[in-house]
Amino acid sequence: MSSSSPRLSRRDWLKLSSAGVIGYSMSGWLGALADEGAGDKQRTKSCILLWMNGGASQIDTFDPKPGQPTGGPFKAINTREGIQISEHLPKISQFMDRMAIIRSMNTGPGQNADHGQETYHMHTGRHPRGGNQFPSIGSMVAESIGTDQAALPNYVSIAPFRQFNADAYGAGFLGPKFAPLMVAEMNYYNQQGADYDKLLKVQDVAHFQDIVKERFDARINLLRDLEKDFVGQRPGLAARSHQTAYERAVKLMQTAASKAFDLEEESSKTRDRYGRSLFGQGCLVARRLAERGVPFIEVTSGQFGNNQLGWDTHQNNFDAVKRLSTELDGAWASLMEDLRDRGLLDSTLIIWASEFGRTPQITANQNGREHWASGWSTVLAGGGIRGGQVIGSTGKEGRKIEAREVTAADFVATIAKVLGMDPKKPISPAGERLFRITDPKAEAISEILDT
Amino acid sequence: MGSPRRKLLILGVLVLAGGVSLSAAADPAPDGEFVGPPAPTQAAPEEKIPFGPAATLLDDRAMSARIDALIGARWSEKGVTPAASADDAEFFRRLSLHLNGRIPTITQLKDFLDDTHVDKRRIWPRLLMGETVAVDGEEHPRKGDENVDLYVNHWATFWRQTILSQSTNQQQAQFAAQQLEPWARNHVKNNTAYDEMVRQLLTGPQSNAFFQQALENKTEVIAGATSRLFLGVKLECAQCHDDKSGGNWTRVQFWQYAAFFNRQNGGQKITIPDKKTEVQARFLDGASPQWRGGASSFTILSEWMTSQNNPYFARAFVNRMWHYLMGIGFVDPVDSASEENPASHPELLDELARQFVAHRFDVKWLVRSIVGSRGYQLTSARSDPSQDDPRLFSRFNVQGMSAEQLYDSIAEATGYHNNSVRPNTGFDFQGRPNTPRAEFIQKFTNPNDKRTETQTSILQALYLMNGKHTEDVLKNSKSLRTVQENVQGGIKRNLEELYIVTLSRKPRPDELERLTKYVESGGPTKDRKDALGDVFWALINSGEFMLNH
Repeated sequence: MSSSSPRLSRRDWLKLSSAGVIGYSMSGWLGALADEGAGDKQRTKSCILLWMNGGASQIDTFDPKPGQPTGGPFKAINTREGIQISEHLPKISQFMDRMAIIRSMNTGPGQNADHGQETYHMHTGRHPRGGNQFPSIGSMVAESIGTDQAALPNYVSIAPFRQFNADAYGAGFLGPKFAPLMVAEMNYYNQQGADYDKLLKVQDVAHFQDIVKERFDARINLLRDLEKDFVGQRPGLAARSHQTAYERAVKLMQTAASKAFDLEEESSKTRDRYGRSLFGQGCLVARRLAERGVPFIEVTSGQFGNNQLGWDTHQNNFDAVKRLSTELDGAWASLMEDLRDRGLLDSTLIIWASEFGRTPQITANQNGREHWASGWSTVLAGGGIRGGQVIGSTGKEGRKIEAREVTAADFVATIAKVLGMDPKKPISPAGERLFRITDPKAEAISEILDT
Repeated sequence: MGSPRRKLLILGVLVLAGGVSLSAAADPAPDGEFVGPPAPTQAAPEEKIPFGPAATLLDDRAMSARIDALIGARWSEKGVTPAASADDAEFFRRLSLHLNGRIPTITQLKDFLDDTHVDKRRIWPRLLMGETVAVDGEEHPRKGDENVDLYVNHWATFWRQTILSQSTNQQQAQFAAQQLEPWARNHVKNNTAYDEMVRQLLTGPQSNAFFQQALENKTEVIAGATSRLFLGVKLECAQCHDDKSGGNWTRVQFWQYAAFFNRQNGGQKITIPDKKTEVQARFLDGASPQWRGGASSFTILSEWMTSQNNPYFARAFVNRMWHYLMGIGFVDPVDSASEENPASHPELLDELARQFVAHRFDVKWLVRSIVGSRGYQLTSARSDPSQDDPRLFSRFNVQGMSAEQLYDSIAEATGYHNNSVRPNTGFDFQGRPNTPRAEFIQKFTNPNDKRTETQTSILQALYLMNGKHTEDVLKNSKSLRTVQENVQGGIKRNLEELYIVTLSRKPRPDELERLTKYVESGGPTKDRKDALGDVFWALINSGEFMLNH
């Protein structure tokens, strides 16, 4: 803080707030104020992003072309609303009245789309450019609508695959306070074992086994004294941030919050419904986190196996997509059903997305599809979404966008609006280049918004 | 929540503080627009005399004095009361972290504290950088060779991280790191001049290859990265549109600079994407290159880039080094100098840059000059509100440690060195960690390069409190065991030993009193050894341990 001015500059305010010095995030205040006047309208409070790692084929999922040369062997099924989707997504088709499919995503060149760049692009709404560390949508949501007082972090990422682009999952210039809590992180090398219980827990949330709880508590008290002295003598962000991080870590350990990850609390029947896979059980954890008010939860589908990475089906596209779709279908439908039964569907936004889609052309020698970023699909469902509709189209064979292009920035702006965030809200540190949640040229898809 | 009136008042305060826009602006500023603070009061001196090496060479002592004079002048101007000088322990811990990448060994700390030479604060930086120093009045020169490996490895990491900070592709960056670090280590060992290092990155047969690979071999990526790294200028925004905010770079200018990296036309011209206009290669100051047969465009560019008369080049590095040691650069962020983002001390930056060039880009000279200054040697403890602006350098800015520094410091404090100083990065070429050190580093690398704004995350805190690494080092800690077994020394002595080995200082009387009571009582298990272990755990997890102050 400058001694020559009694006011806090915006930069100082943001910094002190993000360091936890000021009790509420600014939007925490505004959110509370707005709530008072909101009336009966239910606000969308949580967001679950189902992330299909590798680039999910749109023609074989949500934009089928039955009978066309590009259509492949899958049949299409018709939902009640007269919308066609892949035959391998029968359970989720029952929820089409709550879903809006966007078939006209245009995020880059057709075939040269790059995993690293596009993972970042779809997570942040921006192209990666060295030096500008844009925050992921999860971090932006955590910063905008999360509360500081929560024991659980406001952004949780389940089974993320960060090897394409770790920055895509980060908080960038918003700072580590809004970085995700990650569980069951995946990479090319870890074995997807059956021990989901262990994988899906927060690491290191239990103190050393060979000390008793009283000793741990005593240690924390010793640490608190040290922190208090140090912050007192050396006030400033670095010291304060250290102290805050430890306090929040301890809170996570000491409250029941981390029980959210304990799947043994669920019945075997429920766990079967979601599917005994990492993704399936991950969706169950996501439901539990949404029940506890975590504003942004991501679950990744598509680990490395059979010499291929998840949805990146350059080879043997149809077998792989069928398997992945079946896994997706059971988990997603269970999630929708449980949220609905708990009265949470209206206040939870569910997103189905990927870094890009796949080519309409099928490669002859590998029976696969290549990367494709100009004319692919995403889905928005649940709270704040006007379901039972399709946005945009890719024509008879799916070779190009014929109507209603949607960019990654438009996509992020739409998510922001559903969650009550203003896409034009500035998020960069004051005193530097001004960046907002999205590029101001981005436009939320108004047809989708249930306002 | 309070009465409606109170809410309105709060809202009013928020608005006044400039922190809230209640409605979306009618015409929002374009993306990436610079919205900065008011213009500085001091004009930049650079336009008066063309940039070049200083006429009179100042040794590091004289340069430190100039730094003191110019920093001090600003304090007087702003009515700032600077903090007191750091005591020897505080200074030496800081110096060790900066030059050797870890807290001092207790032997070195003791030697420094016991050293009575009046000039010790100028002798020890040389020793820590591995030099042998002939000291007035001493029979034998003092040798710093025991520090060579530490110094070399720490600064090789600095170079690797600086150069690869621009990489847009992590897999490529990790691959490049395998080659970049040995390359850097070699140059640090030989104290290669900075300009020569940069020329090698741009034109050296192998170093150029891995440098470009880290930047995906893409023309526009290399252009953006080199201008930020070596010229301290952020050009990328001008890649797609005229950049009206930072530095007034036009799209044409970006592509004229990028042309040098365009292999297709021998680097002499390039077509601006989707504009189809072709532009000729031009240096950033608008000058035309003098092509000559046999010299690639990279060579021609590197000659201009590393020239003694290139104001951007020397200043950018000086600023980076200042940022590294003092916690914040004269220009902040370090890579986006512009009219709207002026230097805090333009005159000093200019002088340091000219001297740096005159000293033939000698990095060690620059380091010695800065650490020998009064500003570097102030305590970080605050004694006056006028010390709150980090850009006035009126108290030492508390900084984060890098993951490597933290790992190595924990190893030093616990006395359990589990491969803490290794010649390679510890990651295989797929980016998978294959050593305990590399695993640790993966959890801590922070993309935010602002040292004063280092933030700790909850996951990091959990990992340090409860993780396997901490469990291992505490179980195997030689230093803790030694203290625990020293029953004869008494509890007060035990506590002093714990403080010295972790925080590199003795406990204050109030701390000693509080902790003596704790250890005497034995903690919850009524065991003296356990209680000492508890204190040790708390010290290792403290902000005072994990931060560089």
